[in-house]
Amino acid sequence: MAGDLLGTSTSGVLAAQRALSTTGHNIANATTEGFSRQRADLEARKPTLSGNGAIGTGVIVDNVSRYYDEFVVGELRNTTSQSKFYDKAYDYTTQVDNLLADPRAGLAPSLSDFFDSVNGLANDPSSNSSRQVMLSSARNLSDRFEFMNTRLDDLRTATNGDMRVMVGQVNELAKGVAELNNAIVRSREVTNKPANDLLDQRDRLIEELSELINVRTTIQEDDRMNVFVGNGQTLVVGDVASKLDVQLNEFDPSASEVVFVGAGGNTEITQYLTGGALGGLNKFRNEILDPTQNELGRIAIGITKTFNEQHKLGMDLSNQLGENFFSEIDTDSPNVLPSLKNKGDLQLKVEVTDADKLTTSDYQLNYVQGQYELLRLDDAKVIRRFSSPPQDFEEEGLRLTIKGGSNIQELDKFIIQPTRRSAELFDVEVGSISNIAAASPIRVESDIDNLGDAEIEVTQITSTDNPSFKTAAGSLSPPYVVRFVDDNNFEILDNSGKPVRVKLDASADDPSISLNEFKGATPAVPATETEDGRAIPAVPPKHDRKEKGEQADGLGGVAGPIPYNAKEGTEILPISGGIDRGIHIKVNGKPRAGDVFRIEFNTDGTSDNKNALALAQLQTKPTLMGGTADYTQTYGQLVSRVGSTTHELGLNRKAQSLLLDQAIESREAVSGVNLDEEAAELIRYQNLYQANAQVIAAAKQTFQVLLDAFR
Amino acid sequence: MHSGEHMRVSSNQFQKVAIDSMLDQQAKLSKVQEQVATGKKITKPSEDPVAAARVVKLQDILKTVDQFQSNINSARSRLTLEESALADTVSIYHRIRELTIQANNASQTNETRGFIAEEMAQLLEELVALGNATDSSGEFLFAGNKGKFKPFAKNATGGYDYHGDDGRRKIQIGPGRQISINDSGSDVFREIRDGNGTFAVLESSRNRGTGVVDPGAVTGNYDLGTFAIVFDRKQSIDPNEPVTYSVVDDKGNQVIPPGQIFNDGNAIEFAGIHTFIKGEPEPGDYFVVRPSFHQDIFKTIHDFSEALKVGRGTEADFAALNNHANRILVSMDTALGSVLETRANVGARLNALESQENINESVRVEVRKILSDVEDLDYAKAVSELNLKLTGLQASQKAFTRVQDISLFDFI
Repeated sequence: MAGDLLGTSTSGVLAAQRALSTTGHNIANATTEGFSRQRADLEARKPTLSGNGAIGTGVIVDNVSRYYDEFVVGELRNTTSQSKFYDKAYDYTTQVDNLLADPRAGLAPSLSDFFDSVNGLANDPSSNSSRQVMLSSARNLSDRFEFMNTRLDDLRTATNGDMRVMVGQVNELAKGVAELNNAIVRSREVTNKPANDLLDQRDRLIEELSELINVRTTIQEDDRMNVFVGNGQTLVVGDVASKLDVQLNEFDPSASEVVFVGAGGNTEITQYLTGGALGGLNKFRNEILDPTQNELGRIAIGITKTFNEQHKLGMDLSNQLGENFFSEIDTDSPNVLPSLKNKGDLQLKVEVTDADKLTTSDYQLNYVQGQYELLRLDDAKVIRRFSSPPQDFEEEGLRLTIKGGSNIQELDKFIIQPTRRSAELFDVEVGSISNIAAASPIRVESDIDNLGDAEIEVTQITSTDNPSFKTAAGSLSPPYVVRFVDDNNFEILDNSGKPVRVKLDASADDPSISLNEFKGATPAVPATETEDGRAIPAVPPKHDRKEKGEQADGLGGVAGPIPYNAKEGTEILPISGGIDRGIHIKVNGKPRAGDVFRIEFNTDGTSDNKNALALAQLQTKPTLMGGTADYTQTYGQLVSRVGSTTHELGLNRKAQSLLLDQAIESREAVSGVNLDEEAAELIRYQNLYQANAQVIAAAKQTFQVLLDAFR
Repeated sequence: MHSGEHMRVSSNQFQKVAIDSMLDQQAKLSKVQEQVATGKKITKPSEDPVAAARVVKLQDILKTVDQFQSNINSARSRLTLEESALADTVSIYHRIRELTIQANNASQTNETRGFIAEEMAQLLEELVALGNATDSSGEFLFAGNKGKFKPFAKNATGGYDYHGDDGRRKIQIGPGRQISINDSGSDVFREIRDGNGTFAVLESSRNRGTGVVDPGAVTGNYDLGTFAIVFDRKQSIDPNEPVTYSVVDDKGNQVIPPGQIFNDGNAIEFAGIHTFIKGEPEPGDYFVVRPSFHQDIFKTIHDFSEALKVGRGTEADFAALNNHANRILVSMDTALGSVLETRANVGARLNALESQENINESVRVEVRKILSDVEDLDYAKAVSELNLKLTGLQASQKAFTRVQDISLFDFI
């Protein structure tokens, strides 16, 4: 009996020791990341069967198990992944947010400064200093575009670098998981018990992996864990880890993509990265970086195109028509990136035709089953399908043309980035201050001898790209003379008195030319010289044209007489239904027969500011976004959009971080070590130890009594 | 494990919560600190994306208003210069008018007329100098858009060629509001109707009689016709026969048939006009009535001052002088009327500048206020917020140290 007692109490002492050591292990690992608190599972030893029944034989430590909840750990893993996803996206987006709105670094102040200088030019168009100011603020604007674009490029480079580092970490972690799988299986083979600390370590690695990338895991019977990434690629199977890699985008060498290195080759998985920091990077790149750079480019193209178009309608200090003020990025900057995998040799060129129709999306042109399809990538919508090659084809403010090659093969693809590089390439082209075209190229004058009080004005110049301006540099071909044949009709002549064709195809309704009514007798009064030396003109003036319906310049047009409406004034160029030569001129008021107005090239009109005014008005003209926003508003919307996204990311990040806290709290509630609790355990098992030791002492005494009895 | 409804809290978690709370308090404190330091409610667009976009636009509006105000200043300085040139022009016109009346007086001799001619030539030079006035950057005020070209230069015939153009420069002084900052020299000095402003009556240089014609007036529906009042006698060889006249138009039609007896000073009326001729025209003399043309006021003055230098003896000479002086007087009246009108117009534009300046200023004040509402910090609120956050942080810190002090291990 005493022997039994000794055995029983010894088992108690041993169990207490074991429990104490487990408590010690818990205390030692109180701050170890990922450690799950352990407990010694005590169990009564198998009883001895006797006639008195089953007699207890003490206690045994059946197992040391983890406080562990698989569901809680899974939650932690998911929230970690989402939390890091938003952290990363938010960190990068904030940088763009700050860049755009920085009052010193943003685009808005440079844009205002530039237009201030254009206004300055309108105030003092012939002054060298106002021209100099405009040129240098244009250069500042170009520097600002470049600066902002460089910052965005820097962020792109940073994302690429980040991606590479993180992919390296993923590979390391995958290797670690595979090794732990191996160790866990071997440990189990030896002990036939779960390898608690190794399992914790593996969970910890998976959590770290989740910080980087969204993973899915499965556990095998033998405790091995398989890890999947992307859309089902096996990163770890048993003790074998695969690898991810970073490679350049199939179209765009400035973008890196994450690929899964498999036996059958690399599979791009970037688009499946929806969690972890890598997913956050991807989100930032697709939803912030690309659209922001595209939007800046759109503004750059908008300014370039509209400003250049207006500038070309003006005249510079040396009496020449304006040239491009900014470099032609509308034709030079759109990117066309053929896939590296293309088998055909077709080369495309893309130009911007309408800045107001431009979107900030990129496009993809695919050749599939003998058909071309143009895909807008923003909403993945096929916006046009056609079967023959895109010879000069226009869509969404762009013109696609074939630049070279003739051969297209099934599945050939092109990415079109209309505005990605435009901010980078934005530049001032005008070389010298005298080439700034502040003046209108047209001057109008009423003849000094006019009897009426009608006035002539240029309402608008819409084009200088026509024979009127291009026949001879620095002059108007022909210069016009508008002459009123009577108070209500005028004709349009050139400066040698020949009729100018102003309307095509004389029809029955056309005002016809009637001449003889003015061919009055020669005045009876001699063409006298009066005291003021003035000759007296014949009134009304004579006309030397021959007959009704005369062909004005042999081209079937008519010159006049054309009716004039004195009440409202009349647009005399182009006349109603007439040929538009880009010059719009109106006469207002009451002319008298014989009154003459001249329309000529504005030679030496260096103090004229009409074109400068028109340039300055572009600041507030809605020239972008389908004619709904001016440059600043477009920029404002970009600021607001990035701001909203940042705000939204911030909220999600906060929400995820709360969820993460909750998940940590849940995990800690299950698996975390509480030192007070362990202190209590310590006391408890110390007591257990002491009590069992007392039992051993009691057994010893009992045995001694027996021995003494036989002495 | 769970005991009752209380969640088990690990020591790590215990610490984490306390630290997180401190970090949180610190972040909030730092935010308020940043607001106080910058004076702005929003320090990043993401804090209020809508407001951020508004701020971009509002600041743009402010800059544009600033630009308008500076445009107004430069327009004002140009118009003020023009105003003063026009004022000088007015006084020169007045003086020329006085001199013309003096010169037309019968008491003048060839010599005194010569003195008057001198003064008039002097005044003309002053007038041309006004026409060629420049602004502070050397741009000619009255050259239209050809501001680098001296607008008025004497030509060989004693007239003045105009080298400017009709251009008017407009400056943007408000949204959708432009104002001209110049008037062309052609408008000011050349586009002045001669005669009475509707028609002019001119004597022939071949007249031999002493007929002096009145500048006349429009009485009816004058349709810009040209006419000649031609003198004759019933029997042209008999000097005792009364002088007659007829009126023909430029197509040879007779408006007043021949044989009309001429009486000194009697009204001659036709085609909606009224005039009369004083003195004694000779047969063969004629006067032309024609629509008023724009005149070059410089040449008008020049010609008269030259005419004053001519020595005069015969009655016909004096009649020519009287006729000329009469024309000059009406011309100077139209010129004065025209320059006063231009001056009034410049005055109106200066007023418009001022009223637009006030409008712009109130827009500026308004936008500043909105901008301030959108982005400026309420300091009183922010400072009390700052104190609150400081107290919060201190409380968290105290709680942390107190809680960390206790452990069951202290008791075993």
